[in-house]
Amino acid sequence: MSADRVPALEVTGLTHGFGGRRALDGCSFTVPEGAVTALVGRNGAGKSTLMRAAAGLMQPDGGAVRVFGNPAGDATLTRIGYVAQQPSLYPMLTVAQTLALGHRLNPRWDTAYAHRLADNAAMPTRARVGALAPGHRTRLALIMALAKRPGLLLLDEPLAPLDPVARAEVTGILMADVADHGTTVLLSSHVIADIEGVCDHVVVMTGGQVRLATEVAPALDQHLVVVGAGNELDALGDTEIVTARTAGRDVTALVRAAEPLPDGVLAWHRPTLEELLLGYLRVAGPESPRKVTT
Amino acid sequence: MTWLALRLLRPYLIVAAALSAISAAFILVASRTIQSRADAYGIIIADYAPDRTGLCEPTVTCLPAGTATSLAQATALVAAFVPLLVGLILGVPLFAREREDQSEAFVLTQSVPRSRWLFTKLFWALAIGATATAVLAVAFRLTAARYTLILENAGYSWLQEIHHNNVGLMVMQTVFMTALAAVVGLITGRTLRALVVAVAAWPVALIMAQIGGLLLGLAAMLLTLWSDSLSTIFGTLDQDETATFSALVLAVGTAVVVRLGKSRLRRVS
Repeated sequence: MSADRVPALEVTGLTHGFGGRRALDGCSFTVPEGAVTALVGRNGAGKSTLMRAAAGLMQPDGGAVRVFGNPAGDATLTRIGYVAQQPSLYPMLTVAQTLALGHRLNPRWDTAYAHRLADNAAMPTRARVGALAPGHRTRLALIMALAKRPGLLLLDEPLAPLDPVARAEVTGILMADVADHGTTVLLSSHVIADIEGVCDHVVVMTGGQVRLATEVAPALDQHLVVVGAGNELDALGDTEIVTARTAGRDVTALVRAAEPLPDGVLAWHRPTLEELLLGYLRVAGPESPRKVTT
Repeated sequence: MTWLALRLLRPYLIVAAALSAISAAFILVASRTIQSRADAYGIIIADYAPDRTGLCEPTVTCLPAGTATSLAQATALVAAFVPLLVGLILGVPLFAREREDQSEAFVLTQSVPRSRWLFTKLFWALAIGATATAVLAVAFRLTAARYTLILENAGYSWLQEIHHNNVGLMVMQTVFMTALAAVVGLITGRTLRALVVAVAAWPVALIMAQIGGLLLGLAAMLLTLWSDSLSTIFGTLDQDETATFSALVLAVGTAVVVRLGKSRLRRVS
């Protein structure tokens, strides 16, 4: 990312609580324009809260969210498209009325694109939204977000209600939109298979904190999965161990190391995206936030 | 936004309009029936003062208990409670329903400021509520208000204190209750809480409005003491003037409630 380009999303020290529980605890990261970023975390990690803050749907207790340089809120509404975990649509409206509403409420609404996407999804335009299958409702919500022609798409686990074929189709639509319009995407999920091969950046959250925020390819090059007996890990010296799991006598550790290990007692390989993310998802302690860089 | 606001209001609008129309029709029919019974007993209600002087002795009915007195009681109930009901029907679900089923996230992430969402929905709900109540209030004032005189029951006579047969006060009750229930629903996101708070606040609001109306009337009287001609118009402290000032107090209360809603709008999520 060039230094003078405004990031599509900039989250700084974001903190929010519900009652006595902290849903977000000092989250900071940036998402460069044009990136497809996966927001990964277990259930309750704070992904949805962060997404809602980015969409301007809630006012966080502390910190700031900026979308294309502006504080998230009324000023950024034309530039974001948001799909919630449970699609937010009016069940009493028909599909056609919902699409027409998109036209009324959005100055940059692309009617032809919306109808093309609805036709491709075989969307029954006369059906009430409340009567649609969950998969269709999710696709309609996605159409509403895409046809706004947003600069930043915020998708909160949108693939969860979809069948495998629909997942592939929706992913294809997203990638086509990214390729054609340079849309920035922040896609939250706790299913790693959903984001593999789709995202070029990743943000990992656990317990309301950001554990990792990085570009995918360099991150894979800067980590190793090391396997050996427990006491053999001492051979790693000062190498930072992200997480380690014991299975019998053997220990499997994800370590931060750009250079390959010398031949010796420890077996190692470059992690897959799944190994990298699972390693960070298992991290229990806090880690200082990092920036997503290009 | 207007289309969406009216579409979401449609079921409640239909209920409120139907309630208003049925109430107005009932008032008109009841008035004719009561008048015919009064004629049969040779009672000329128009000749008597609002305090029942000369009509009949306190606690003694002028008409024998029957259809006419029952209808008079029913019209008193309609005039007292339908403005409240219209306000609750339109105000309680206005925002609370959207927030309960989380569909508000749809409109709040479209390219319109959330203040437009607030004000457009409130405007139409208040306008519809005011119109619905105005219809029955005018019908009541013009045709049925005089028949509350025949009610010997102190409880039913007391109902008149809620509105003083004043169209403005009845309309402003609906407007205030709509705004209050809507804003409580906006803040809490729960229809039941909005309903309970609004119903509990209703008598308090009425008492405050009556006291405010009386104080404004006194202020008007003091301010117009210097002019004989003005003091015959303002500060007379008659029932209609006090009720009009009470309506003014409710209008100010409505503005305060709407402002509260706007100030809490950013916290709606």
